[in-house]
Amino acid sequence: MKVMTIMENKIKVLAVDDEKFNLMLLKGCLKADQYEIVGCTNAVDALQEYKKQYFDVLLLDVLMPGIDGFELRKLIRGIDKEKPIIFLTALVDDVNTTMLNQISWDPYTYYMNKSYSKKLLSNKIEQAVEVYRSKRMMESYYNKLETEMDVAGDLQKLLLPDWCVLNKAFCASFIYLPCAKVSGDIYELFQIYGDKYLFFVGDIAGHGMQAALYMAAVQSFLKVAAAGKDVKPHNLLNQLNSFFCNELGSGTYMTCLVAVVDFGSNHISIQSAGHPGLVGCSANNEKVWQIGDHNKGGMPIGWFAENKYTEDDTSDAVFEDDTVIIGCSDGLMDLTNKDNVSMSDDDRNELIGMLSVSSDVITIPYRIMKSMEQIGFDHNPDDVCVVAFKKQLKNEKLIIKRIPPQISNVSKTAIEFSNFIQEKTGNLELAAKIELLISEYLNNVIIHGMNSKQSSKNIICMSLMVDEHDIVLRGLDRGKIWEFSPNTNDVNADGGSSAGNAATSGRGLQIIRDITDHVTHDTYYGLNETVFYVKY
Amino acid sequence: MKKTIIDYMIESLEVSAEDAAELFDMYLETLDEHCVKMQAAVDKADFAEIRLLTHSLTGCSGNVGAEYIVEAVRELNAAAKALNKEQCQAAFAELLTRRDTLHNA
Repeated sequence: MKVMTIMENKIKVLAVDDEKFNLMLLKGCLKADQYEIVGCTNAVDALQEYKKQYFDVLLLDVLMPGIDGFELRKLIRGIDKEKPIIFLTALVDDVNTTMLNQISWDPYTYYMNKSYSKKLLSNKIEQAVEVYRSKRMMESYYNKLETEMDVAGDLQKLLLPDWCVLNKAFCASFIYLPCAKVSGDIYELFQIYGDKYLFFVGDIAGHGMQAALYMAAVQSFLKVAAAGKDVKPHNLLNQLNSFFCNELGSGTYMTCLVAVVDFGSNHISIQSAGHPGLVGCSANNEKVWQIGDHNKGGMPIGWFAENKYTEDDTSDAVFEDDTVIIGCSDGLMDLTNKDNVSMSDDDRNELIGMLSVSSDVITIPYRIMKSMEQIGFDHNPDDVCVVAFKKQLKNEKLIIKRIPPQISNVSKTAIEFSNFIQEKTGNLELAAKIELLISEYLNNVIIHGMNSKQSSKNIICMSLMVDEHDIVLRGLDRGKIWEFSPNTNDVNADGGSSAGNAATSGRGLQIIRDITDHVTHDTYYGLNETVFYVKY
Repeated sequence: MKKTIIDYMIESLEVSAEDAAELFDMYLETLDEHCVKMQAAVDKADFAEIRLLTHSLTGCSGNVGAEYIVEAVRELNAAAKALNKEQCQAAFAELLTRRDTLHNA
């Protein structure tokens, strides 16, 4: 950072004294090149002058007819609370506690006797201006840094997988909560080859820019090191350790968990480098179990260049088709309540177990965070990342899609879902209704719920299940938190859905109410879940 | 006395000899203006006005190192504080004398 010195800029002085001679004297005394002085003989003129142009410092007389120096300072403070003000007064003989208090309550006010010398006055002015300018420079630098951190945070989110991933092999979702603007947490789940996928979750020490840059470097490294290769967890950890110690080499470290998941054979090979292990749950029971052996594993990446991760420390496990596998960074374990107490592993697993019965893989990371918050564990000293994934099962009665939040995708999606209904039920009227319902819902979410968040990362997840007598349409979006009140025709009764939030047609919510038999709506830590039931 | 003031300005305020001479003349004008106003205030025994004027004159005189004037002005200020008209008149007379001396220097 370049700190501007006094000599680089002229100091603009506003001098206020009802005695013209004193102003002349000041101008004569401070005539040198580094000063530019504007003089005023009363507070009103001084205030106008102050509003007209920039000044570095004010020299004020205390006793002036009309508005005195202290009153003028009050008016100036209404504009700039930190502008340096130097009182020049002949009241030296009358200085008392009251006057000293009046001068000194303001930390940016200084005092000088009128019998000043040029040296003393210049020193005082330069000292006051230097303090002010340095503070301004620091603030400006800090603001710039904040803006850059915002951009870095946005870019970092772009590097992460979408919050919801659906493909032929698996469904996955994650919640990513940096405790600062950028985070050192990492999550990846991508295909290596065939049915094999690499699951990676990590936590780089620290939360700031350095951690974020390391996170980006590790993500790039993983793609190069793993994609298309027969990766084993310990080999990848060894490569990462070498990358950290030899290429990045700044003394930081990372805990992580590497898993090679085969969705064809339901097999998973896991090795942890000082990172929390994976747990499994399912909608069939309230139990949560460890995936693999949590006692196996090695030390964090980056601690010792000589450290070798071995195959013996890899644990293998199989999972059922309906197993939801959950991984996290230790930020989840570090969430504390108001007494600074974190939740025990048993209590957290019990909570996840209870949630797994009523949740699905896509909502569970968000439901976990919401439940933790609801029971008071909402103090977040570390970045938090929670990931859930599950094997994708074929279901002839289900269609599930990720929809990028652009209006151009609305009709396409509505028609695709409508065709699915037509194919499964042969009911044209029902298909038309569902097409209209999806159009209205997506329009509402994209236009009103995501007006400033139409990033391609903010995809909407929609699923439609054809039951024997019901169509169950579910939408998940991360737009504006909204509420839906299905039992009223009053559009304004919907939370935040007055004129500005109604559908584009202005009839959207009414149409939704007319088509559906029942609607539920919930919000889990920024994830909106809306479920529409249509009988046929 | 004039030399003391001019030397003070050159040394302490670091102004040129030319500027110091000009500022000295301006100071005398200011002193005269104050004395005119002071006369009226003393005649009316307007002690508050006397204190304001003495404050202002103390500032101007102190700025140029005119201690000889400052002393007289302080006497006048003290008399005004004490609400003593006779003392004010005597102190003001002394101020005028010193002013005249300065004029004739």
